[in-house]
Amino acid sequence: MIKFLKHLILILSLLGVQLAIIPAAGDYLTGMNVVLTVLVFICVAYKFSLGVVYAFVLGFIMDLYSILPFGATLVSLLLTLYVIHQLSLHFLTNKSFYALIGLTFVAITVNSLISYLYQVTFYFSETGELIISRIFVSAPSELLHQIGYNLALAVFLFAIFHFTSRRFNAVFIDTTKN
Amino acid sequence: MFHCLNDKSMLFVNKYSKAIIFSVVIIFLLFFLHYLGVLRPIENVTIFLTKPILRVFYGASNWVGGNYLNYRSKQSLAEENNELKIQLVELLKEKSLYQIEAEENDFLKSQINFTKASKNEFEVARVIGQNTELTQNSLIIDKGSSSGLSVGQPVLGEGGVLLGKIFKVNKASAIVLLINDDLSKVSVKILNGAKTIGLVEGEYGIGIKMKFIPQSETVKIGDIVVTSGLEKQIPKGLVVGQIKKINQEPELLFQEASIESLVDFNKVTLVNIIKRANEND
Repeated sequence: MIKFLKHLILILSLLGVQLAIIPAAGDYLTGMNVVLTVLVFICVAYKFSLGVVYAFVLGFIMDLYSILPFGATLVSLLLTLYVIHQLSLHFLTNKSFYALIGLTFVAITVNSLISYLYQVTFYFSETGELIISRIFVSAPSELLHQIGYNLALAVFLFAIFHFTSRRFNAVFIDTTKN
Repeated sequence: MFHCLNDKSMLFVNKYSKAIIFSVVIIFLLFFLHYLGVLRPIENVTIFLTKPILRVFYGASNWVGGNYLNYRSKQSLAEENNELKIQLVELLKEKSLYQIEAEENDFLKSQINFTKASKNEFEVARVIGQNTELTQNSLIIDKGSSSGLSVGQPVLGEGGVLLGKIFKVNKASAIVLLINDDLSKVSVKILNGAKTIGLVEGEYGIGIKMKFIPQSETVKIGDIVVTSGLEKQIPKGLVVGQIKKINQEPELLFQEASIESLVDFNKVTLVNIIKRANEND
């Protein structure tokens, strides 16, 4: 029960931050995707399956508050998690700071691409106007901002967990034993 | 060992595939149920439950943002205030420069009028300093012998009022002894009916006194005192000042009068020197 409450509080806090605090924080911070960064962090530091469950719940609720068609956020979150899971399975060997930073970087990029794709499709379906050129003008700087802020958040989360838990502590493999 | 590993990886792949399939099924189910409207009650409850939390977060965010903006605006106001103060200092400097220039302009205008009326040869000089010693009342000007100045030439202020005489000349500067200095002596006359003649001397640097006024002469407060023209380099009719006070003691041979100059000696910035007086003046 306590565990459930902890998860619930975390989910509601994330929602509050992503939907209420970040949009009101000003022009620069609006590109910050706290939910995605935390999901990547959960997948790297805890369990991938836990990240997926979080993605389902958060994606579902965020879709209720989104102007995009229902499921857009949910699917983009899950697709991003799937990509980073594939990467961590095939290219990464441990849970390290660099793994976290690299995966966050990839996650933000993939998620942004999916979001842009959604936006283009959505605007085209609504207005019949292709906004690709407009997105190409504004997207690179937005993406850079987003990557910068989210990496900073990932570093912040890593620092907190590094000093408060043993999750990221170095693991030495004893090769002298049979 | 390899067999064991294969078994494990196969198990993982199966588990992983199952998880993916399970996720995709859930997603489709959610889509399906959402667009059918079956999920509507759950969605409403979710929104009902999350809305107050979002409201609290948004309120808090706005409060923090508002305070931050307030702080920033205060900061920017303080910065603006500092900038304005600097600008004010600059403007005051500029204003003082304009005022000095305006004063100089007025002086030059009056000098033009004065020199037009007079046939003397003039040289305009700028005051570059004052002697601050108590015993001396003098001005330092930026023209000297190279400009044709010599000792004894009269120095005039605004409106042609006599300030003093050249006391010392260097090549590019000169010292003007003001008429209120103890060393200063100028032959003058009063513009009354009798055209009374006398001698103006400085009085400890604080005033001007006209001496040697015969007791028989009638002198009134407010009479204008001008140069008499008895001195070689000083033409007649240059205004020295106005009689402010008369000291008439019956037992003395002469009367004395205190004279007030029409020029404030401390505020002189430009002077006019008569290099050569017109013989007819």
